Amino acid sequence: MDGRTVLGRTIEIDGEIEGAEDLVIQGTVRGRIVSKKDVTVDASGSVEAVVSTHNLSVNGRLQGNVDATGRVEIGDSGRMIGDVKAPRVVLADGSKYRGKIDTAQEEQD
Amino acid sequence: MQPPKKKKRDWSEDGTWDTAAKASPGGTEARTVSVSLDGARVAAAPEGASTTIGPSIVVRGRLISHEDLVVHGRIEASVRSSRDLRLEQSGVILADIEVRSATINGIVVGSIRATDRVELTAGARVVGDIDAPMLVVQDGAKFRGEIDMAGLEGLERSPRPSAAASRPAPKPEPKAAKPRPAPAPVPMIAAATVEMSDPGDEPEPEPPPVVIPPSRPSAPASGPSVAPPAPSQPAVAPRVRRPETVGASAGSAPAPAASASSSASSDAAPSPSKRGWFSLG
Repeated sequence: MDGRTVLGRTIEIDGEIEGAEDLVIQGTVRGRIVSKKDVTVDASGSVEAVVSTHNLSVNGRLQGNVDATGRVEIGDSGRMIGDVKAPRVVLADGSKYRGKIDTAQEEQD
Repeated sequence: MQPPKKKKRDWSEDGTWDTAAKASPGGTEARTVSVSLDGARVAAAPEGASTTIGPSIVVRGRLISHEDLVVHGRIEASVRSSRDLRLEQSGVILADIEVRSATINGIVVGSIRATDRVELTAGARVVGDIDAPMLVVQDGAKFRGEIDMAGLEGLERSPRPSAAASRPAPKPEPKAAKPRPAPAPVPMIAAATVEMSDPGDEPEPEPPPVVIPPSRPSAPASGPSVAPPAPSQPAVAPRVRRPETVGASAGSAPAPAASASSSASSDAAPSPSKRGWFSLG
C-alpha cells in the first residue's frame, strides 16, 4: 500500500524509524532512519540521524550520514552536515552543505 | 547565540550548527524544538493537526507529540502526547503510553495513562494497566491489566482501605465468578484487579464453595462476620445488615462469605466486605 507518513511539526522521535513507505519529516528525529522508499525533510524538519533510503530530499536540517540508492537532493532551504553516498546528488542554489560526497555507485531503482 | 526568532540557519563560524534541540527555548515559531510535555517551551499544533504513522512504519525509542496521532504501524517506543492517540487495527504499540486521550483498536502491550479518556474498541487487545479518569471498553475488546480511574495524585488508594485489604485476595465470586472479572465500563471497577484469564493469585487456598460459615467461628482472625458482635460491624455484610447469627451473617449471602474469608485471611478491617457486593474481594 503506497501510503505516506507525515511526521508533523510537533513530533519528536528519539530512536529509530523503519519503513517501507514515503516519509515526510516536519518535526524532529534523532537516531536512525531506514526506508525503502523516499524520505523528505521538510523546512521545519530537523534530523540528526543516519539515513538509509532510496531518495532523499532535504529542505530542512539534516545532520548525519546518508546512504541512498536513488537521489539525494538538498533544496535551497536545506542545511546538511554529513557524508552522502548516492548515485545522484543535487545541491540547489542556496543550500548549505558540509561533508563528503560519493556518487560512484550504481543507481538502483 | 543569535535569538532563534527567525528561521535562520545557525550556520555559525565554527562550522557546527546549532541543531534545533540545542537552541535556546525562546523560539517556538518555526522551530519546533525541544518538545517536552512541560508544555511551556512548545508551540503545540492547532487542534485538528494530526500525524498518521503508516502501516509499514516501525518506530523504536521514544516518541513525543503535541498533535493528534493516528497509528497504523508499529511503535516500540514510549509514546507521550499532549493530544489524542488513535491506534488502528493494524497498529501495535509495545510500550507505555501517556496521552490526553486514547482510542485503541489495535494491540497495546504496555500501560496506558490518559488525562482525559481511554476507549478500547472491539478490536483492541491490551495487556497493561490503564490509568484514566474515563474509560470505555466496548464489547469485543480484550484486556488484561489493572484499571485505575482515580487519576488524581494524592487521592490514590488510601481512602479505600478495602482496596489494599482485598487486593491480595481478589477472589472471584465463588458462584458467579465468571462474569465478574470482565471489564465493564463502569467506574465501579476502579482499583479492582481485572483478570480475563486465570483467576489470579489467591493467597488463600479457600475452597470455592460458599459454605464457609460453620467452620468460620474457629478462624483465629475472626473476621467481623464471625464474632458475636456481628451487628456492631455494619460493614460485614452489606447485603445482610441484619444482626443475625454468626453463621448466618457469615454465609447468608455469597458476598459476605467471600468477604469473610478475605477479611479473615487478611485480618483486616471489616471494610473489605464493603466491596463484597461487587465481590472481587
